[in-house]
Amino acid sequence: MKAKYIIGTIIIIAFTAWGVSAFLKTTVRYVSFAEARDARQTVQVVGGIDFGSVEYSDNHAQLVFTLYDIKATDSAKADRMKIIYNGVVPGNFDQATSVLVRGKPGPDGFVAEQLLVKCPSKYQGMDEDY
Amino acid sequence: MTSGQPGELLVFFSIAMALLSGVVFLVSALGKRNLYNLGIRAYLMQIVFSTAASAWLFYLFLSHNFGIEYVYSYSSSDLPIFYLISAFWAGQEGTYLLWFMMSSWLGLIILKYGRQYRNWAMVFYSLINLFLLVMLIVISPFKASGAIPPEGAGLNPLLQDFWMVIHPPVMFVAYAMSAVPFALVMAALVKRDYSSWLKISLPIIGITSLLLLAANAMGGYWAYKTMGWGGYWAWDPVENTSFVPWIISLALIHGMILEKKFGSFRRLNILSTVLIFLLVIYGTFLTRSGVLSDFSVHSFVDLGANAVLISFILVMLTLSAGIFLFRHDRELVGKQFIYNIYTREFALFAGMTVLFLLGAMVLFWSSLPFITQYLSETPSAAEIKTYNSFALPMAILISLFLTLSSILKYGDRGKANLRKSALWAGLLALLGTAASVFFGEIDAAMAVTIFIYMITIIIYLFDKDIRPKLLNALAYGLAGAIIAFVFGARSITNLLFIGAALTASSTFVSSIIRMIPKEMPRAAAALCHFAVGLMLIGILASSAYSHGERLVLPRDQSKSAFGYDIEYQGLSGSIMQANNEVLLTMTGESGAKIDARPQFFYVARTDGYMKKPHIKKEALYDLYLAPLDIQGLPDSSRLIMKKGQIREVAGLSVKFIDFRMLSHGGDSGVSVGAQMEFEFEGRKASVEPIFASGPNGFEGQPLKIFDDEPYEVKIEQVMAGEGAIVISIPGTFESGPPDQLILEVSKKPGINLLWLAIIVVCFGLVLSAYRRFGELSTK
Repeated sequence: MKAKYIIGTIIIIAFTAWGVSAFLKTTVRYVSFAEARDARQTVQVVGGIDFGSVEYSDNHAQLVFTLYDIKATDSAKADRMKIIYNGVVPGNFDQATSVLVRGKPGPDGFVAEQLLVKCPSKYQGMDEDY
Repeated sequence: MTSGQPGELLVFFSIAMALLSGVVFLVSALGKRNLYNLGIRAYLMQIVFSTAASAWLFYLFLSHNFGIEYVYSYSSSDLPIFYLISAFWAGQEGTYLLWFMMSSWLGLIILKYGRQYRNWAMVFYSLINLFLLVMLIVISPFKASGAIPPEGAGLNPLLQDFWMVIHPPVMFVAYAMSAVPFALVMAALVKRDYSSWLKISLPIIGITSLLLLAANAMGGYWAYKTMGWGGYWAWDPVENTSFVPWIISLALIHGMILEKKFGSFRRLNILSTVLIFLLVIYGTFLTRSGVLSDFSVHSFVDLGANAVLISFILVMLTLSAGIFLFRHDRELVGKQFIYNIYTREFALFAGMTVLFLLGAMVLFWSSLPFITQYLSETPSAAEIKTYNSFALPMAILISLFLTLSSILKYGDRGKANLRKSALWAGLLALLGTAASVFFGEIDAAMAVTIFIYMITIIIYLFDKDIRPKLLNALAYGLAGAIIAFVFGARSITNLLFIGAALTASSTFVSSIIRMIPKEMPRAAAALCHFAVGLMLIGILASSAYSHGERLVLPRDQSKSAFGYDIEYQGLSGSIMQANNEVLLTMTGESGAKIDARPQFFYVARTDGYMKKPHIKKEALYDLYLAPLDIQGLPDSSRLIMKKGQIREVAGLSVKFIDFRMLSHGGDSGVSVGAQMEFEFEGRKASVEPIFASGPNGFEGQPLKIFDDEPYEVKIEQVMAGEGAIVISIPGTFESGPPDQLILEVSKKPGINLLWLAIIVVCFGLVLSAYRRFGELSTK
């Protein structure tokens, strides 16, 4: 009878530990530009797109652009970072007010795994049906 | 009276009837037995009113009554009738009405099969109906909009699909049905009579489980064939919140079978029944509260019903927990369960444990955005790979206990010396685990899983009665793993997964053959479990072994992938037109040509592109052609602008301020002006291009922007519902090279096995529910 409770407790503790650690390992933190440059694991950084810098290379399979810190008070001195993205360019990329970049720093720049675009007039509410 | 008011009135009548029946049932339950029939009559009236309210909403959709905000938001007059019907449940308001109507009808199950619990169960059931009705008051689908727009906003093209027409009703029947066993178990607790609630609830739980699976499968299949990202399951919170009740319902079915046979696990089953219902409401809250809007592609926004949902959960939780904690009946405890590992009941119990753990973990991770929003400024969510890294070992353990439950017998005691065999098994398993850690990339969780799998199997191999059957099954698993290896599978985890799943499936084959066709309903369980093993293999094959390549296809050129030369021949129409198709020709090695027609078009409603893949089905795999992007289209010289938006084009700054209705019809036709501001090299100009109905339909007139510059602006399209226009400014874009399509071509092995297996599981669940309902009517 006692064995039942001991085994049960062990299983529950092991699972809680597993759940929390697996989560902590894969959580993606929001970081500043400076932190993003030194990140060892995947992080997320938010910034504005410098549309003058947008370039498609490698026969359109790669997108390269400069991300600037929209939080900076003086936009001329805002922190900037080169982003390299090999995925599919989101449909509303050219209308983005800001973009959330998820990825890791690489040798030639910050390598994005995912771009999430925030648009100025994105409908608040009714559009996301199901 | 506005056209919405009859609907609101019917909702109010439903409330009156739900209140009346609830109160009357309560008084009757407390002793005034003669009132019971009055309660039934009031309840039947509630069914009538709820059905009439739904019929009224259907009518509003079918008659294009855009004066109703809900009808305006989710339909338009050009929508085919099939999708007009599904527009009913395209938004939150309608789904609550659907849920309530289903719930009303399902109350009949209690009245027909509820036996001694009918009266009390109807008290609780009426309370649940009342909560759903309060939701309908707070967010009513019958609300009138301020003005009557001439045209509706339309239905999101993603939802214009057969599976999206039937997926929500199936899901909401399941949600509504989960309240039935809940009401029954509450009645059993109140009456301290546990003699037959289980017999009544088991088939209902079975059907709820079936519907949850079917609804999730439909949703997955829909995502696979319309969304274009290539998968069917993303561990999205919306999916998870119906996945968790499903997993718990599976555990509960097994718990109930054990209770039926041995009289054990009564409290666990009662709690699980309550839990499934609470999880359904909690999931509704989680996905509709707006908490997850940053994390889920299809979660809802808060329409102000949070308070109702939270009180719904709290009231139900308090009621059920309260009554459960105050019940100390000897009868509630049930019989002592004998934990003997050589029995089938132990294998079932172990399988249940795995299901509970899986459900708990998925629930915990799905709730993280909700929990972490209180802990930090930036709430975080679990990633898909987090879920996968957990689901994979769980699936292996489920396969393990499936195998054992099939091979072991009820009440059988083993012949082997457990202490001795456990020692040897432990040593061997440790060696095996060490070897797999050494040769493969395996994380701690997987190592533990491999150890558990090995030690368990070896312990049973020591028993000479079990050994032959187990070896036989393992041979099938090993054969499967070898075939997978030959086909290129190298990961130890995946090989073990395939082997374990196939071992499990194979153990059920002989009983299926033995029982079909004479004892078809009894073969149901074996059929279900056999298919679960295949389903797991299908899941692994189609996700872990899906591979693809990205083709950049300039117009009229071809490239080859997976044995086909794929040529991009342009578009069937314009990228701005709904259902615009991408014209592809696939030339096989034999020279045979096949047309493929993925879709790619702009959707103003969501300000994004619809990218629907083309799927070419083969027996063993799907070839999945997903258009990712089309670049350099001449059409891209068009600008989509919303009110207030400013955009830059070739040094020209363009601002769209608002529409102006210039003429409403009659002799002069309809014409709309768009107030716009332009800025070029420091000069500003305000112009108002016009879009007017003419003999050839609507057309825009080109209008010069500056007197001394060549720029002209022309309205191409007006999307009043979205507050947006499409304009063109010829000359601002130099004509570049021909357009090119970025196409992802991928091969998804085993996906048809998955769909087939799900159909077989559903079929098995139908069979067993049929059998159990049969037992219920014959008494």
